[in-house]
Amino acid sequence: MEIDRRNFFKVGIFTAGTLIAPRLWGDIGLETVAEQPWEGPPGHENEVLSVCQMCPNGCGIRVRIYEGRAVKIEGIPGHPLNNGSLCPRGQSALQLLYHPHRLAYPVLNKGARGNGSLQRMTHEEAVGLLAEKIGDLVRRRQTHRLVIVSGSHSDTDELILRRFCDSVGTPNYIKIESLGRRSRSMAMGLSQGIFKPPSIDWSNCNFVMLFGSEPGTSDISPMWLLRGFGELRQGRAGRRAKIVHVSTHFSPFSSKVDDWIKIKPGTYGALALGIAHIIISEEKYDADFIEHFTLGFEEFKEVDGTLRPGFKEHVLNNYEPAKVSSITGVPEEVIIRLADEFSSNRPAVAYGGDGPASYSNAVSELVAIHSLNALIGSIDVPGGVLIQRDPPLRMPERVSNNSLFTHNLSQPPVDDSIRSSNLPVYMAGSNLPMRLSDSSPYPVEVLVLVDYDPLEEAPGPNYWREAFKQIPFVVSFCNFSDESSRICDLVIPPGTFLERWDGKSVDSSVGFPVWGLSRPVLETPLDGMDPSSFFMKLAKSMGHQIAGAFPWQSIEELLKEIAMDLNPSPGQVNPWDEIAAKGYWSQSPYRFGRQREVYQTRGNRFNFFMYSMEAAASHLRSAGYANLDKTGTDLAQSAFLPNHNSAEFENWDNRELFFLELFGTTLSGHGRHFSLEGLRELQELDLNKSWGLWLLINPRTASKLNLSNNEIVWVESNHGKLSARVKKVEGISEDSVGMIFGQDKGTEHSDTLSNSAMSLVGENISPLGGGLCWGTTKVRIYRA
Amino acid sequence: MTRWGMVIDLDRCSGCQACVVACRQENNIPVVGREQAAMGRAIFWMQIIEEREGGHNEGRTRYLPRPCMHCDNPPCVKVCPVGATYRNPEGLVGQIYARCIGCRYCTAACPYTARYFNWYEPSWEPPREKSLNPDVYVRPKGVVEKCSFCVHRIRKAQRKAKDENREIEDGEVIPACAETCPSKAIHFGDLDDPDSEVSKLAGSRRAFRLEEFLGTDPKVIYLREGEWSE
Repeated sequence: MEIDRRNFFKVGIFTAGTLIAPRLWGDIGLETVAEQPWEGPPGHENEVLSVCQMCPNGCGIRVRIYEGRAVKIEGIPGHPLNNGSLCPRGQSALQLLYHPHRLAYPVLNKGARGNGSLQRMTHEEAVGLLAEKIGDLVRRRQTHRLVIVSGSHSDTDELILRRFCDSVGTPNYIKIESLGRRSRSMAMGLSQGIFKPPSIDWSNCNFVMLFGSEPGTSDISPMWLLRGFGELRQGRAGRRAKIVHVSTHFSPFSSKVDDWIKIKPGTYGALALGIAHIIISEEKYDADFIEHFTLGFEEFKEVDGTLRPGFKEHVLNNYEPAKVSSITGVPEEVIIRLADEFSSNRPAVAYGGDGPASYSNAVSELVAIHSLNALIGSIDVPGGVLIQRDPPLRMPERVSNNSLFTHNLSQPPVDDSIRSSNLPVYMAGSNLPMRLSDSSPYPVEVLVLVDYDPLEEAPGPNYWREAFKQIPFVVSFCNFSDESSRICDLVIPPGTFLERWDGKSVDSSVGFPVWGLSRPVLETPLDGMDPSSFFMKLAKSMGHQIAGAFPWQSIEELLKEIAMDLNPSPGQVNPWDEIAAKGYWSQSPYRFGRQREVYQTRGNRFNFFMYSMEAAASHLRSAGYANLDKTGTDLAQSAFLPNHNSAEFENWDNRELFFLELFGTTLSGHGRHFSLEGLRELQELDLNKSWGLWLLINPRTASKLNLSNNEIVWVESNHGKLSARVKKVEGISEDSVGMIFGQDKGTEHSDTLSNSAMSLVGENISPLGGGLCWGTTKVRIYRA
Repeated sequence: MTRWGMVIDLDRCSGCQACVVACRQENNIPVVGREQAAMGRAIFWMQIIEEREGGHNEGRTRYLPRPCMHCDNPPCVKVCPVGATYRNPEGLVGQIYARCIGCRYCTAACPYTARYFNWYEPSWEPPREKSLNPDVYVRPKGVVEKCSFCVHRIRKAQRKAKDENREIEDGEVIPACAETCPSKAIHFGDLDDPDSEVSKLAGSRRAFRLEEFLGTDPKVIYLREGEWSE
């Protein structure tokens, strides 16, 4: 550029302007003018109280509504479970409500499943179609050939669907519980007679030993555990509790605790009993508690002279630290240190989570862990294990005696479970999808899936595909086109929990009873009809006793009846308005010292010697179950004490294969909502990525296999194979590989086949308790 | 004059990322998708940063929630050629989107990597846009954005206090991250008020600030893990 007079002034003015302008703008206060519109836009705004159901636990939520749109969810301040806070999944619920791929209306598949033409219909037409199919079973007196499998978190769905099955006359209402829940409940049931997972009084606890338990992955509410974490750390003046985490791999949570202990897969119970050995031999147990609240610590004789072995001798003889160390891989001195700290920092708590619940010996391992609490008297005391009390709901009477076909109701259920009212044991004996595909014990004609996608969530998806082929009519209640619904006959969108009425008792957490009222947050509901309303409408359209079993005009009316006895204030006649204004009902504080409520076992004591396990074993043997040795169903009396039985793994002897560890994270839980993009974009701690399917592998293992980061490999088990990208992580053992639940599960990949890591797992059911053992699989790794 | 600041107790923090999700929902932060995320273009006004010490399972990995530090001596403000970023009298470091020319000098200058660039026009596939917060602007393509300490919540609380003819109370302003935090690790308030919770916590012997030697004077104070405060 030629420097003439004009250009000189141009450049000079531009330079001076650039240098001076920002300062000038500041001086005249432009920044305040340019700030965001602080006054907020004008518009109608309100708040609706409800209950979060992104997991089964039931936190109280308040939804901010602006001009009819739900724009933010927060916790209800003062709510006993979440006290104004929410976990990442709860914060993501609006992504579910306003998901662009939500199904808008029921769809009937005409022609070949998966390839036929799709016919759009209304919910009323769908009710009519299902009424026709079930009506046909009624005419032929074959109502037991209707099967409903529900993975819904809703208490109202549970009530209505079970009632529908009872009134129609089918024993086949099958509830899919969250992973590990059944085993955890069974462990409490065998020792305390309460078939629900334990609650823990975090705020008064001094020492916590978590066996394979992490926030977000365990049955215990993630909010309760995360809240407890803060309380234990800096919640009490001058008292900072110690948190010990025992697990097979080093996770992000492991780095947040005070002490991480590495353990071999399937050996948690052995470590617990090794700790018990030291506590007993050094007489550091709570003798007073043992004497008044337990049964079977010492050897004893029954009235008929039968000699029962005692827990004390059993542990002293079988679980000396050196032996336990060789089983678990935990050094002897660490076992001694843990025993010392656990017994001398009371109140202390031992809690078994997903880790022990994932193996074939789940129930006995969890019982062994819980026996530590009995040993130091940490049950039903401040800072110890609590029993979650239920709210006094006025539940409608069961209709099983007034069923349309009572004899159909007493047919053997298709999941081969033993449901005995006089035996405190629920037992699912064998593989449900295999029995469905074999038409055993009878062919199923109508299968209804409610909020359950077995091809993604259940192990062995190929068995389910076979089962679908054998069943003439399959219905799925789901909000997205998922793996299972793509090969169904009828797909019905049930809507989200933010669009329905529901009543929810909080799951094991705070101890005292809490009941939350869930209601539609939008004035104009989106598309969908919740399963409860749908089945109530269906029942009414079918007449007979079936319609008579549902006298309510709406779910809201049913809930008002259920909540009649929940009096927020003494002497109040109708508590509904007050519950609706507050969003929940609760009765605090926790009532300690009610021995009959806490121990519903023989003698109303903690049963070291588990009578109900003995009864279950005998019942099972008479029912023809053979391979039950791992659950302690042999005749040895000591088998009914807390024990460590070796976990069974597929291909155990093959050293070239790796243990497959499937775990959840606070973001993914057990994988159900990981299709939400907002969650997937977050970096999974430890992984730095979420999108895609990743294989976590120890760097030394990776170098032996000559694998590098990001490389694509095949992961193959006896049940399937899938490809994943390698991520080297030090925290994984050299003999294991890890995968995260739900990764690559996404509605946006509707044209791909199932890629859930669960497809690698076999349908391995724990005979005692019927829980799924998802940690028993070994896999081969090779370059793709 | 109020001087807004935040205290994050790392001993309470469990690394659950609820703060990150709440922040994204509150501040209309778009999802950029698989490909863009792989290129490091996902936007996080609040992010959990990993810090490794020693070998992974021998040493520790620390997790640190990182919002904008709202420095009292902000390097980003100094380098902005157009005055799009500024420090206001309350100590908030703000961003004027309409003035930002997308040069990203501020992004390079920020030692805490708290600033993010919008590589594309943000999009919300219908009906996702229904969940957008009406109090917060949606940023266009080509501008830089970052944590605002939920300034819209501050203004709302100030307006309410003014309407009621009173001073704003300690604890009345709660940013989205602090409100949702399950373990109550995040605290917010006036650092110039000696009686405020944040002032008291900031005086803890566990307190430290990130990269203090740079002289940025950040107003986010962290509390160390591993011991009882006082």
